Amino acid sequence: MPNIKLQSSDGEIYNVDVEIAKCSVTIKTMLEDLGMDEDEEEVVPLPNVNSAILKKVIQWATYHKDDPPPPEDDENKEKRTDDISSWDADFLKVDQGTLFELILAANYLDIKGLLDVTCKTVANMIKGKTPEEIRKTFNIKNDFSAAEEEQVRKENEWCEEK
Amino acid sequence: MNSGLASKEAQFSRAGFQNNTTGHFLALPNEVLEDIFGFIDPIDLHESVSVVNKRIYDVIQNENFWRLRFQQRNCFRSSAYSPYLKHLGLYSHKWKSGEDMRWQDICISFERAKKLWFDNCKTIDIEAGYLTADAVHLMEKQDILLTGSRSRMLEVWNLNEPSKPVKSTSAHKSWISGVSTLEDMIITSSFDYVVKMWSASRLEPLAYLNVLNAVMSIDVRPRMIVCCTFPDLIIIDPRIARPDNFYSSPMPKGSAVQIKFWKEYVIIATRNKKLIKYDLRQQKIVDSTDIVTKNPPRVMEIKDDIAYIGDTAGYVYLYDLLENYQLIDEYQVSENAQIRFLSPRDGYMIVGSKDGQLRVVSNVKRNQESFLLSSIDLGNEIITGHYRNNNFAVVTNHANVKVFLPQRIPDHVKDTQELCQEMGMEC
Repeated sequence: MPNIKLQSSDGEIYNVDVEIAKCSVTIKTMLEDLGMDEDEEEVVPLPNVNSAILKKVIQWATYHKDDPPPPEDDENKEKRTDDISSWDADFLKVDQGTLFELILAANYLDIKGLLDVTCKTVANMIKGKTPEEIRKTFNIKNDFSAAEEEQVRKENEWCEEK
Repeated sequence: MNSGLASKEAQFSRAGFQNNTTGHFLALPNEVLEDIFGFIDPIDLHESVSVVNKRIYDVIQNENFWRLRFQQRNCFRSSAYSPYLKHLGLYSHKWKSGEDMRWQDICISFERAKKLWFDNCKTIDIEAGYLTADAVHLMEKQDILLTGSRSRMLEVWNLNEPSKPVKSTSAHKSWISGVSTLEDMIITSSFDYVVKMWSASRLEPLAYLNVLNAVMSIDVRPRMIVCCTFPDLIIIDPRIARPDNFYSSPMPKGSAVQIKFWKEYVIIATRNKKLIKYDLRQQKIVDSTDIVTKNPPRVMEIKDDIAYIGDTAGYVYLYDLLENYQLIDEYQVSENAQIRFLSPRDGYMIVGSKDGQLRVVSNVKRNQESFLLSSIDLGNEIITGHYRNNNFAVVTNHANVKVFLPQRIPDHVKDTQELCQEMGMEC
């Protein structure tokens, strides 16, 4: 099976099955556009992904290599967040920093399935919480003044229709 | 998604502004925050998430986020054109200009509609006698419902004790055609030529007017009542309660189906397919326009300067009151069943028809077809209905009233919650 070499930002090199690497649209496009030959000993640099995260991404992609392609976005479906598989849930039992870096990597590498499941995980951490609880959860600074916050609350309050 | 490593890298470095570290929520680029917010209920986004922080607020205010969300969730191609949305100004890039509807308004209205109607919607059933109730009215405050029927009875119902009326009175000498309220006053109209005003608290008559002909339809606004009798338009000032204190203006031929206030005018839909505009300042009819409905109008409502007309064969037509009654769009709602109740909401309408179906229909068509968001079969003919403050009541099977209260917790859910509380558990 042909392999490809992926290099993380901190210089680690990983030997990955080309088919698995191609779940990243960014890598797939790069291979096609640049005409990189699969049997060439070329190293693909990924300057935005460190080795810890790249290892996780490869682990995820390897487990999901036989998944059917994700459905098109414009399907008339409620966007659910309670359908995360138990493997993914376990896989994503990581600290927040790692989770966000996985999201950034999934976004940069354009891996829809991984982006979806990581975003769902974060959405679940937000759902049903008050603004103060959300700030606490993610260590976000409230940069609204008291008056501004009141203003935002007012304008966003759901008004009953007549 | 535009790939291309250069742009991704640029985003990447921009994103790290908050904490120098990429492992922070606010280090995520806007497009990723939008992806995350795409999984969150719009009401939560508005009421909780956008209050967290200024940058998050800005992401949630972005109209493009909502436009995409609306298109994706409802299968509307971005190139699809909707005359209704155009009327609301959604293609004119006049976002956030005063009263204009925004994509976020329409998106939220749709997602709420799917939740409100009709899953887990609390309903209350009332048996209002044995003769058809042609008039039903939910009062502004408190859980009070009024019915007026062919038995000549005006009945007051408390939704918390729906088994029998709180008060009732033999209100008229003939069928009651309309019931409405003005603050603490109830107004009834009847085929007995009389319009009556009542004190809502005591259900005692305050005043009556003999308008000389059977009253077909009535509408009220502060300091003014309008009604249609067979040949005339009648204007009443409710502050002066004398039996002859009304102004009457003759109408063109054709019986009125419904009368509604609109700005400084009164709009009347007639059975012979006309929309008549009466100017309240000039005190005269300023125009009378033929409308192209396939069948005679049956009900009319006005919202966002659009006259919604439901006909006798199951179609709903939207006419632009600002553009010379231009037809905005038409929708086949039922298979040949008369439209009896119509309530225009933001982006959709609730339609009840003679076949017993209540349908929630999108005003934005999909592939040129009417797009049903939800429906419920009430099993019996729908006579009329009234919508107020997210609740509505419909009369079915002549005199049974079904009240839909989506904001309330349905009884079976409440039971479980109480059970949990008793057991000291969190639900």
